[in-house]
Amino acid sequence: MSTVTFDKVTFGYDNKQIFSDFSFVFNLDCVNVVMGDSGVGKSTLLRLSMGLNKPSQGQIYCPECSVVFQESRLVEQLTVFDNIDIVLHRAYPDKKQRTKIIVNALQKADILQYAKRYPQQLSGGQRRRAALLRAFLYPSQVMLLDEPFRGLDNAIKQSLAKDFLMWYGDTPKTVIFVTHDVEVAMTVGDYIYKLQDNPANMRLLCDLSTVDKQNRDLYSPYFNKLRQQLNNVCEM
Amino acid sequence: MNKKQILITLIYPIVALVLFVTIWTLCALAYSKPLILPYFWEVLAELWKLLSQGSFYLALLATTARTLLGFLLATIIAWVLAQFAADNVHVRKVLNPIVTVLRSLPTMSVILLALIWFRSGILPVFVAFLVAFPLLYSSFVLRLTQDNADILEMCAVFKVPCRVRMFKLYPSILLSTLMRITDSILPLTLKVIVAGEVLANTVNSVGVNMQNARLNVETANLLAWTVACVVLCFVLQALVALVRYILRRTNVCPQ
Repeated sequence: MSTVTFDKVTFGYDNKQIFSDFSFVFNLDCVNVVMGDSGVGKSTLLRLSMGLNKPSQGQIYCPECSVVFQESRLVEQLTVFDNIDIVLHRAYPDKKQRTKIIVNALQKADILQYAKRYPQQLSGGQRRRAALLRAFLYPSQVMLLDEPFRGLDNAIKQSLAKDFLMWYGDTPKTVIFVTHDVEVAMTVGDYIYKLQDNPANMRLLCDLSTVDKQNRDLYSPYFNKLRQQLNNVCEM
Repeated sequence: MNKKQILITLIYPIVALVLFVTIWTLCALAYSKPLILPYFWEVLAELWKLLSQGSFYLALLATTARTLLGFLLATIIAWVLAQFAADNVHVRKVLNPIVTVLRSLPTMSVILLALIWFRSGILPVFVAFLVAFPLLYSSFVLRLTQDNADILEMCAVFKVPCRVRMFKLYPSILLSTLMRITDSILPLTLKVIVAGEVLANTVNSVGVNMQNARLNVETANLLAWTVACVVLCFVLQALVALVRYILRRTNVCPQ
């Protein structure tokens, strides 16, 4: 079983119960997009999956995972190359092999020229691209993304979403992708869920698993209708 | 930097110096007892005299060496312990009360105790270490565990190995922290070193020369040594700025 499973999980902060007896199994080897209102528990869902928060009751099964956080979480004092390098040490102890993997990936992502730059010398989009690449290069069965394109303009979001699809095509894995952005959700998602209510429950909004992610026309009548539906349901 | 910017950069320190000398001169005129408060130019004349003596440079050099040694020892030990403390909450919890006590120790009581324990050459270095270490350690730990808490979380999720954290991640963060705080801690170390030298009568030191000037009621001489100390502090800060500049230019430390 290499997907993320929540089994009767209960978790809350001080006065607020976020999950109560919450059970859910994410779809294996596909992109599960999770949408929902602010504060409903989307980030908590990911933190529980990563093991950064522990449930008060129930169990969570999550295999080795890689993460893209809301902020890029790149080490400001390390170059882009070193930021990726430090997370690959365990999986690839051989330095030559590691360097080859990183250089190839940076080349493919067209950011090899930024390899020796520090994060503060990069634009917001470039930082997120580096963080995304770091998560894809880390060998894992599951990938968790917490609003990875937040605060970027639409053109950069779409460009990053395309990068995501390109890298995802190379290394398919179970993905939980939290986002507020309907366009991003329709671009990358196989299943689009809404996390709702308090305590939270998961509701399937849309199954796009049969629609090829690489060739989606987001302005086709089907996606226009879906966009309207998602906007209505998510009240965005 | 164009001429106008250079002028703007220089004008404020010059105004401050002129203001300071004016107030000093007015006070000296009002008090009119050169033995207690000499005129500024008398101090400069005394400093000029000192500049022609070899022992002056020897004392300055020895005090600088003690300052750097005390600071270096404190930095190395604080650095290593901070890395372990950042990596292990139990180490952090054990070290926290010790560092809190060290930070609260009255400097004078430490010097008096050190007078019993050490010979006069080592005493100032020991005292400087005890003053600088808790400040450096606290800054390092704070920087690693609080300012970079999200980075530590990232390392936990990506299972970054301990040796990578210890030899690559933490040192890079601590180097930039050290570059930022050296400006404030190095001058403090110099002050403590001089205080230690005064009380321990350390040979070949700025402190012992100050003490001798006080005993002989040579106020101008005492003030001349003080001015020399201030200049030494500026020189040390300029050296730190130079190191910071070189590290930035060579891309070793971006901040």
